[in-house]
Amino acid sequence: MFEIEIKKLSFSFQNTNGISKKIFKDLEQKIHFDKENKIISIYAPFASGKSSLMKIISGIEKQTSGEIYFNNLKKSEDEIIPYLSTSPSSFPWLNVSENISFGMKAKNPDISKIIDFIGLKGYEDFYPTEDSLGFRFRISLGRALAVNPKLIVIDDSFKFMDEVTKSESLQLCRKIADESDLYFIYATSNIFDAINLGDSVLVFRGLHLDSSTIVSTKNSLKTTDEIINQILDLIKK
Amino acid sequence: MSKNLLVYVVILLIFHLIIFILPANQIFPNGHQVLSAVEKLYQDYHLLFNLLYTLTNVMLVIIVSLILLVLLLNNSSVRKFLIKKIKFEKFVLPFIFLIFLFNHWFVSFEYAPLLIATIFYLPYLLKKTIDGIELIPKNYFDAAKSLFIEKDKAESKLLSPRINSLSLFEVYKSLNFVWSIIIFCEFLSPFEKGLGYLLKITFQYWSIEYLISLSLISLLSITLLKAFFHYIEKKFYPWEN
Repeated sequence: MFEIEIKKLSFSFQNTNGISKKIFKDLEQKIHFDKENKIISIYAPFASGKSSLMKIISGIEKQTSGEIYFNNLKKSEDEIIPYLSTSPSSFPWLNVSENISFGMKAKNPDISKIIDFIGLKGYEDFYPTEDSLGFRFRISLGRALAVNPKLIVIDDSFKFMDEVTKSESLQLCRKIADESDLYFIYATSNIFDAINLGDSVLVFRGLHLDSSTIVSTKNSLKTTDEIINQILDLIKK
Repeated sequence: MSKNLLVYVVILLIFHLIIFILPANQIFPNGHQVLSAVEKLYQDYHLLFNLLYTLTNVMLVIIVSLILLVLLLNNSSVRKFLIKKIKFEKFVLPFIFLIFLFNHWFVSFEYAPLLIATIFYLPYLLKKTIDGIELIPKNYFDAAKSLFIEKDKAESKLLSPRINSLSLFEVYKSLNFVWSIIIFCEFLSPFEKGLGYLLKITFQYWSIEYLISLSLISLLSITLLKAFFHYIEKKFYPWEN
């Protein structure tokens, strides 16, 4: 079981003209992970602050005010929450092995297991090029797995993929979630992807992540269309 | 590489057309005259020694600049200072005038060409490498920072191999520039060494066959140096820059 509690979280930044822009204010949210909810999708409109929230959760950005608690504790100094960005983030100047071992403090003997697990066995010495988004996502995922995290943040990483690559990448995330103790938080503006990957979808309404509702995607009595309609109704309210 | 090679081939073809195929011309020397100029430069003016002297100067300037660049850019505070605070384009001054000035100051110093060329080449190389660093997408830094507790360490670990490869790539692209600075400095130096000195003699005697032979030797040397740096870059940094 794992829980993220967001308390009175605000985030604003100064643009190039020095004008402060509010992204969200006093955000309150509990995100609860368990065996049935290992992947939680966050669905919110474009430019609502999803990426900022994901970056704050993983520790890349600092909030303006408020706190985030992980299992009722503030994020400890040595806790790493890997962030997978929207655009591919495997480093083209490192090969697959070097990319995956990038964040590791010491040489990890399990690196070949990780490479095998993410389906890149035989590609250890390959360099990621711009044209293969699926390949690059696998590398980023492997790099995240190599630091033994509890939680991985995926920030709409499937946005630019074609349907086949996206489907393979979603399946890989599902496989990892099912076969490990890892949890995923996945932010997207694509309602289908949110439902496809998430065990639950946290639906945010409004431009500033104003209010939210959790929708379970594992309700066997509902079809995907019914879940989509339920989410659309929530957004329209 | 292929584009440069094509340009050299075209220049050589034009050159051949003028001096070998059109022997009736009165301006350009024929092939025999050029070859005997090379022979004379070799026998009377120590062409090999002077060529090696220039080549050593060029290599020393590149190595010293590369070492300083890597040291400066791998230090996160210095790197941030250089990227955010120094506007290199504001330092674009008529550098030929400055070379004259520097040469005047260091007139009795034998290694003046080396020093002056480094003073001009290092900021150029820094500017070009920083331009390359600034093109690195922000999401690479985000991904790297999320994997480290010390965010500066993530940035340095991410950038270090990139800085090395970018700087070597920029050296490869700017060989003509560094070669020109060295030749120019040697030309002005009173120490009578290097291809720049031979060029000065050529101008003193106003000998076109010497000028053409020296240009050809320079062209050939730069091409070989470029091939060498291209090989080194691809050998150690096999990704696309």
